[in-house]
Amino acid sequence: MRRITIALLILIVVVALIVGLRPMTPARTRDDFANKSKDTAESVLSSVQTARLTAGVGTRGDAFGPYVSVVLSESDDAVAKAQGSYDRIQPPDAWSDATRARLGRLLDRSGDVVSQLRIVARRGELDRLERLARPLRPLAAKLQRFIDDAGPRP
Amino acid sequence: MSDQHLGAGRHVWAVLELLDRQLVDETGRLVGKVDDVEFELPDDPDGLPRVTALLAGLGALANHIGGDAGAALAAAERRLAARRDQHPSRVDIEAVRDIASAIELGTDGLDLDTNRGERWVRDVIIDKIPGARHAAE
Amino acid sequence: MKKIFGVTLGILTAMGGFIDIGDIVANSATGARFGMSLAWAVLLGVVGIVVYAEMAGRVASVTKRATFDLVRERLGARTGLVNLGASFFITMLTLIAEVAGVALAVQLVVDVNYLLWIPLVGFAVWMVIWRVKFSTLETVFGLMGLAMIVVVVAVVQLHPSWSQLWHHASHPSVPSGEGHPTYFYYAIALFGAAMTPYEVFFFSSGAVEEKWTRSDLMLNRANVYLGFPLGGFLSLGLMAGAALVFHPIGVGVENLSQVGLPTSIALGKVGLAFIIVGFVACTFGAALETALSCGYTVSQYFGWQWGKLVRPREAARFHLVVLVSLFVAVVVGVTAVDPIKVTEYSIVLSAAALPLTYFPILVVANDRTYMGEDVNGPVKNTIATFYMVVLTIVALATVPLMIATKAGA
Repeated sequence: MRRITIALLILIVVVALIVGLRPMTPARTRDDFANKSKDTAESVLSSVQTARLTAGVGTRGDAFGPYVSVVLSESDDAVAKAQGSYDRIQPPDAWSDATRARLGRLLDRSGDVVSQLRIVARRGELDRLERLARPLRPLAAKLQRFIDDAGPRP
Repeated sequence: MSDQHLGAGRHVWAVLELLDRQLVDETGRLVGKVDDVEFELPDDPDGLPRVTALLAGLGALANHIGGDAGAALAAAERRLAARRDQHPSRVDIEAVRDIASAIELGTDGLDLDTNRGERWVRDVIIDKIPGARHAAE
Repeated sequence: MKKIFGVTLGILTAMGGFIDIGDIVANSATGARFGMSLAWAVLLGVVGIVVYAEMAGRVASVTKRATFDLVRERLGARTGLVNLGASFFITMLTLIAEVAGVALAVQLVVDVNYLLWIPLVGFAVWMVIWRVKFSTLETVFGLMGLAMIVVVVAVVQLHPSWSQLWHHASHPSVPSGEGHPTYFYYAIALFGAAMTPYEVFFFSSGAVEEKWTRSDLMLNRANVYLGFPLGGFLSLGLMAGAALVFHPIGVGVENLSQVGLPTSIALGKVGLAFIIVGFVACTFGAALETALSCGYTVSQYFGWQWGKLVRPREAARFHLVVLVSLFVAVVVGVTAVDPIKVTEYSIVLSAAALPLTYFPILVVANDRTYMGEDVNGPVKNTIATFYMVVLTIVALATVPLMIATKAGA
């Protein structure tokens, strides 16, 4: 009886760990793909907005160089990771292809700008950040529209 | 705790009151827990069992817990034991001086078998680190 | 005069020492995702820890025995061992998170990869435990932790609509687009962060370390009744800052660095400096407490001599456990396991194990043979029993919710 209890507990912990680590599985249905697209968009929106805020504090002199560098590096890493995971998902049908293309453009553009911010911050040129971050505003709006279009979670 | 008599004679204590209690030596040092209790059955069939010793140490604990956990502890104890014999550390009941919040012994704890492990860790590891003899904080 | 100073010091120390990496991450992430609608979970947790810490402190003052010491005595060796296993594991997870947290905070000042700081942090924590007096260690890091007051100042400086903030906090609702399971998962995380087991192990062992007696009970109460809620207030400051800055624009808190943004925006470099000092102080202080708690739990179960109140060589096994725990924390941290994820697991699993920690305290605090006149009064017992029910519900709900929400995705 105790062995079973222990085995069950281990099973629960293992399952919890696995779902916690959330490896990306292939999308089997259109809904599934739409959800994953939405998740990716939300994640990248978060990074884009963070980068925007940070660029602002950097240029206004409200934060130290190392701090700005760290936040922008982490944002850049997050976008790259989200994009990498998303790219690997197989879109199940033609509708999903269109979604993928639309989001893909936003991801590319976001990644470019945030990377640029990271590089500039690393070089200590904080005063350039706010201007370079301007494209992030419309990008954020587009990402938000994408998320809204995807609708509520079923 | 009200029905004890202390002194030279051995008397009966409720086993429950003794098990898992903290042992404290005459200098106030903590020297382990009562992991198991040794008692003997008297010749008189109507008489109550007499506690003869308190047992402390991994071996005794393993015995007391039993089951898989106990077996694991017993295995650990065998590996760590300096001596090949499997006697758990034994505190004769005579050594017990008082039973209050903890069980107070009338001997110096470090002489007890229960602190083999403590002495080993102290000598082999802790004493080698500078500051081990630093004053108590 | 000296007494007032002592009491004030105690309160301030408790306030500054309240927050650790779990509270920082949980409150900020929740504010970003749910605004102020989970403020109630923080309040619930704070009241819980206040009630139980007072009990644990009272038990330690009266019996001169620490919590875990009494766990085995009251629950028996077998149940005590299960309790030890779970408590030690969770405290170990928390230690890993705190050590990594210090490294992450230091990285915000010197942009060198946090992984390189981890071994240094581990060593520094051990050194402080080895050499620094207990009361000094507690007071210094407790007071430094008061730097986190800056987050409340930042919220004020952001000129929020106070009525709106209050409205959202007092009328909790699940925001559209979020599911109820996720909402309650975050609630559990906040609750677990406020009531993490190591806090009582440390608090009660500390009471024994500092040789509290019955006459210190008033001091104990002041620290706990005033200091902890003030600390909880700082937690809410973190939540509010994130609610005001992050929630409206869709930012999710995934890194410690983000937590500093609202303060940076509101108060500039000075504010940022304060919050980073606060991060370092809170996580380092918590690392000290957690490492010591690893030692306390194991030593108190086996009955070994423990504590800083004797010379290190007289508590050899205790110090060995502390040393090994720190070593393991460093080794795991250096594998680049995500510290924020570890933090999340540590607080959520803490929530799952809360009854194990708190049940023995409640039992002993009611036991006249240990406590004499100082047993729980009826009011305290009612509240404490209510909490025991809450803790059990939380514990049972944790793992299913974790699975259902994919760990709060």
